[in-house]
Amino acid sequence: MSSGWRNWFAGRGRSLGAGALVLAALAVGRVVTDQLPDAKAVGSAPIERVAQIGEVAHLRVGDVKVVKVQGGKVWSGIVEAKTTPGMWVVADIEFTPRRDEGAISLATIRDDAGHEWSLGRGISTCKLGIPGVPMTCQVAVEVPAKAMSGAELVLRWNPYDRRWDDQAVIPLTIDDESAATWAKNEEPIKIPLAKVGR
Amino acid sequence: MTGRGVPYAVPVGNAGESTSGAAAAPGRVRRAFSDLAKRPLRQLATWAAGVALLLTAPFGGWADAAKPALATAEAKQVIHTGPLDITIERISSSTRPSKAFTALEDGQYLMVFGTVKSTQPTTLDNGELAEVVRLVGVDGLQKSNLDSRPVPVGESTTAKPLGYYVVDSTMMFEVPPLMTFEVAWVWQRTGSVTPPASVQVEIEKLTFRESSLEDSFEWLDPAPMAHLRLPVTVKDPYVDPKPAS
Repeated sequence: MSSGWRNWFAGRGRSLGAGALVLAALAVGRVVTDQLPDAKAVGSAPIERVAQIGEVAHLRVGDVKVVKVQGGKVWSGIVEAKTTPGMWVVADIEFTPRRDEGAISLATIRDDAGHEWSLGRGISTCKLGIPGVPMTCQVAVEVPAKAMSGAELVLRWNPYDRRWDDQAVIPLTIDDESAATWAKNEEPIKIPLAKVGR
Repeated sequence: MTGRGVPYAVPVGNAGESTSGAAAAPGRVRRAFSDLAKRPLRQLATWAAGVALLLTAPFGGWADAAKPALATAEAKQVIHTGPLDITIERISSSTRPSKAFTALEDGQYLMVFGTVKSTQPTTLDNGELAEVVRLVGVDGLQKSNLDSRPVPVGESTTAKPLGYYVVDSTMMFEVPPLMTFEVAWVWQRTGSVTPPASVQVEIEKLTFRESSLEDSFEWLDPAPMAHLRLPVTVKDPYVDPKPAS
């Protein structure tokens, strides 16, 4: 019986060897792939244009400048008012669209611990602009009422596809003092419709 | 007759070639193994898998998988659904809970009140809030805010609620990180149905996995994980203040 199995293996040695080599190659390939950065993620990462408050960031869809940042417990628009268990950070923006579809539809605040707060229950009025005509508008983002290390406001055209396009990054100062002040501010921050033209 | 011409009656050669009685068994086994060794590898693997599958039958391998028993939750207990930690605190019904709602002529809103806190570092924006709470055995629930058709009582867990932030009665779809929100999951019941005395609430657990449609990871596959029954408090409808004369 044992000689039969030896014959069986002897007849299939080449096939078994090839199979073992294929498995080994796949295993090595998996290890190498796991160690390398994801080429798709690296290649499609957004291009970040850092600008301080008061500076213009030149984006593909237009020029954007944050002129003022304030915070409070409530923002009040033309339809509804929204409160928060944290605090609203509201940025006043000057935006000049460069294209028909020019808009700031994504506004997020991120910290250096990897947290990211997107528009969510907030608002952006920086939409429906006219190419070449400056508009003044606002974005409001809801964040916890506490100091935030490395806080940055990110403004971008499209909230659905974050690949390749550029985005403005505005460093913010949200320290203990500003967080405490904003978290106690019960006066609604007015957010009217955007003003188009000067 | 020597027997050489009658192989089935008289053993010839060595014992392994015998075909009768206990002595014949080793020969058959050897031939069977010899035949097996000549079979293609793929066929052998298929046969082995089939035999293994058959062998699982006596041990319940073909039986329906047992559904895990649902845990019974307590009111205000923190329940970990995956992306969200939630509590369920009370249930009420009203034909107009607040100014933000349209008054209902025949039917009412059913509201499950509780809290929600994200476990994730980034804002949850894929409808997770509406996926984690369902009602069991309630008739007349609208399927969703986009589909007003009522679902049969046996399928009431397919009716999807809308989330509201209780403090300002505004709709809530996304849940940002590091904050706890007082929320209400709100269903609309249609028809002349009276509010139920109590309702069974089912909590769903979500799984983080790669989407089969998109190149992304999402919280998917809601599955029942716990339930609790709470009484329903009927609230008077909101009435708009009379304009100053």
